[in-house]
Amino acid sequence: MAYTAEISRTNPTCIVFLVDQSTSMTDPIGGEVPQKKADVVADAINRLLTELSVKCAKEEGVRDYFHVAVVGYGATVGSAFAGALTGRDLVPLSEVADNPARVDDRTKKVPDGAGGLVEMSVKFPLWMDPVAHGGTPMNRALKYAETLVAGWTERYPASFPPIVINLTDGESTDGDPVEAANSITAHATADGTALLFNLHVSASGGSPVSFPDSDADLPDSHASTLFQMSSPLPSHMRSYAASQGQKVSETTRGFVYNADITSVVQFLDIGTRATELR
Amino acid sequence: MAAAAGPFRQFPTGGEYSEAMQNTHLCFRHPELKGAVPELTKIHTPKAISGAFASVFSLTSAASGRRYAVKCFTRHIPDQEMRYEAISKQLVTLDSTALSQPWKMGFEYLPDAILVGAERYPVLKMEWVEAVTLSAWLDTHHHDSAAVARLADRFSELAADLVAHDIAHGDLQHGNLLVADDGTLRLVDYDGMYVPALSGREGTERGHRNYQSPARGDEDFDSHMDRFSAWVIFLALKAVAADARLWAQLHERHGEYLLLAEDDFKNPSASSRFPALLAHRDQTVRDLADQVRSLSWQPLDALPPLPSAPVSAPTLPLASAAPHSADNGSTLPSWMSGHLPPVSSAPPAEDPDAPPTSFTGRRALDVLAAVLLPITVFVPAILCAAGVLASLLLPLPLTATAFLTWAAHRTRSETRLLRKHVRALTKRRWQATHPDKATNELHRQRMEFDSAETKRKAELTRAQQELLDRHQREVAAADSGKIKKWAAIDRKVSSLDGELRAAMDQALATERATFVQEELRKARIATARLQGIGEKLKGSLAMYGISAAADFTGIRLISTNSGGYASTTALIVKTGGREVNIKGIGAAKARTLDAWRQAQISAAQSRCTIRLSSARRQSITSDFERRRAQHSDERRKAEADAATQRAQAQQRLQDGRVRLSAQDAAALRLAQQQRQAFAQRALQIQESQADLDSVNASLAEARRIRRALSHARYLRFALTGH
Repeated sequence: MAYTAEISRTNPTCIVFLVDQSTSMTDPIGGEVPQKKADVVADAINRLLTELSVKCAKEEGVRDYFHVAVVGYGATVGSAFAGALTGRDLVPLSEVADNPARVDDRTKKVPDGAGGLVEMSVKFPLWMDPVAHGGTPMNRALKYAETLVAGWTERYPASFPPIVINLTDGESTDGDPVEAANSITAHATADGTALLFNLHVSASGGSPVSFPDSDADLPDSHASTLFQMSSPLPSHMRSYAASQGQKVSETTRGFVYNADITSVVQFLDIGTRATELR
Repeated sequence: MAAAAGPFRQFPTGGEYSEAMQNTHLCFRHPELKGAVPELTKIHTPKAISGAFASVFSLTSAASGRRYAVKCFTRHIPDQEMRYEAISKQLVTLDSTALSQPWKMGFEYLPDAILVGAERYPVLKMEWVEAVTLSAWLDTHHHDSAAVARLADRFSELAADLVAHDIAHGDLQHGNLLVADDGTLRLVDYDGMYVPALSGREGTERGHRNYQSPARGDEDFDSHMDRFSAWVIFLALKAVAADARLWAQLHERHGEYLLLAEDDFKNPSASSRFPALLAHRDQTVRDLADQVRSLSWQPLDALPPLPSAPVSAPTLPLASAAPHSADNGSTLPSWMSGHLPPVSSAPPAEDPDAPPTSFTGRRALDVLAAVLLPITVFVPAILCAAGVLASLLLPLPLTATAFLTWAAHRTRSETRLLRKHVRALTKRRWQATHPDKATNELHRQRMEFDSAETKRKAELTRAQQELLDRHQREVAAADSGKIKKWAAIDRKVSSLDGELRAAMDQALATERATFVQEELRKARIATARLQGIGEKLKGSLAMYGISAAADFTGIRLISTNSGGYASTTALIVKTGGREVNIKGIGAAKARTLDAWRQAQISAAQSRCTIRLSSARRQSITSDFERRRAQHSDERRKAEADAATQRAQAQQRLQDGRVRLSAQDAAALRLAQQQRQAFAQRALQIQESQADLDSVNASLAEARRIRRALSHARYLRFALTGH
């Protein structure tokens, strides 16, 4: 059965984030408090990298269960890591954990336990900054991801298949991306074919279409294209999505259309959910 | 607090706990934890040690200076508080002095202890244990055989403590067994522990996959659930104690297992690690390995506990009594380990390619060989001895029989299977000893495949473009055909108006001519006053059939010149064209007659209508309307034809696209399978190096079988059937 490989240090897997950095990412995202889409996406990825680091932390430090790449696409296509990791593509998680570009101090209001609120300062590590400039060269980004995926499957033939997560707010400006997407999912390890999940970030608000199993309810051909590009969720991600209150079926795909802030975070959580970390 | 503690409460993530721990004076209320100092990572955030269901933080109390391990849960566990209470109560009853070693760790379950966001969650506050995990300890101590042997005994004592109190840990593994400086064990992580008070409930986890029986399920939650993992750990410790090299040989650096892992238990016959233990020179190692193998698919409650006394070979409690149906090893010899695919989660099954180790079932050919053999040996010998046969000819029948038995032996299914098996093994040994060549070959095939894929995709794009081009041509042709037809129809329609007018004029002219003709018939010569034409002449005219203006159409005057006298003859042209010369009608009278006729015509014409009758008009117009309608039908038909052609073209495009994308999808599926197969092979090459030993062992075993299937054995079998 596919997608059951144990993820371990000797048999790690890779996650490639493709982040849309086109000009339109400066538009506000749907949600309670308006925020720029680029800010929300960068925040979600930074938070996820912290989360992955904590999840893979053991006595001796962070274990390299994952190698992670963050690829931006807009005016250029390439690594979106800032700081010490600038220019790197797949980086072992232990190195990611130790090398954020900087650690911001953010203040948060929390309940003081006596019915009031109190300000609390928390450290927030950052690996990438929000960028929004240029077109949406999705084809080039997907092809870049394909080279990473191809290299990975050759290097770790027994691993849990690579996961590519594409976060975008618009249509590809360098041609139909379906074929480039198919090329990614044509790569495979002994445990199954590479996974490609797509997240469309909303500009308009409106309710998101999360993890659909057909494109019947999608509003336009652009949404259908992204749906068709997306891999079905492996069973462990399906059950996790269900436990998070998502409606899923056997053919549910890793795709969210018109995502608001909450669904961005949840999508990344579900899409990077590992089978079993050992 | 935390009213939402229903059955499916969402718990914070490890990252959220880590964030909360940055302000321990805010997140904790417990006096020992409030303001406690967490251990930090390199980037100065609280350092977590995470498992599947929880993250543990090290906190040093600001109040007492004591160090704690604080476990924060990332997943809802049913009846968690009740379970911990039951476990705590049970552990408190264990008298520490009665235990084999101080393995029991104190803990305190604190409900609503930590504030994350706006809600409070429970934590488990535990003593901090200064000890190293079993795997880390083995990394540094595996050469110290005496220490490892002592630890094996410590472990069996710990297991005996658990059995004695009807307790099971649920997840015995290298990360939950810690070794303290004095060489005694500590058992940590009691999340999945079973104590008698929890009887009848379900387990909360299934334990580490590399330590569990493939037969373990969720319903396995009782005092037997540690049995399999205990044997696995005990085997590893005893084996490393007997032969320290096994640690380097079978344990992969950073591997999350000791010597054996999940795949080995699921499919012992395909295991690359089992053979090294099953064929080990040390009897204890061999027997323990055989024991673990035989326990793999047995129900957990049928497994024996670890032997309490030091193990002495070869009497093990259940190894020999294990039912053969569950004991894969009894039907699959160890040499097969190099034969089955290395990664397979299928339940163990007999290898269809495996050669049997003896001949069974004689064929007609075997019987023939058996009959001929004595005849060709003894009969010629007797004949020869009797001098009947020249000894020179003796080898002939012998040779023929030898050839026959050779062929019969060679065609036996047993020997064929053996040859196939040896070929496969030799190939694997070649792979193992020539990894570079095998890898290069794989790389070459991969490149070839990739370039074929690239070509196929380019071809697909071309076919798609061609389809689209053809579609556009077809649509354009349909449109231009329609436009041509329309132009022809429009021309016909626009000439209709002119034709209508002409038809009207024609009809009017005919009507008028008919009227004039009628009037001329009514103009009788007899009643007309004509200068110089009297009754007599009128009578002559009547005799020639000219009695009304309608009876002639004009006159013709012919001048003749005879004998110098010019004279003129007047001819009257009758209706019908005949000309008559009537005596008495000369040129002058003829002219009078003609002028009268002309006057009659003029008079009739002036009386005649200048408009067509409305009935006539109606009839002509409706005729033209019919033709007009016909043209617009033709116009519509041309439009409909073009629409049909466009629709057909669209359908062809659609069909073509469906066909291409089905082809593409099929090719992609094949590509996925092919790449998966490449990955499998790469894996095999990697693993074949690791299992070179087992391949060699399998080859040795195959050689042994070859002896069992030798020609001599075959002859015996042909003769005796055994």
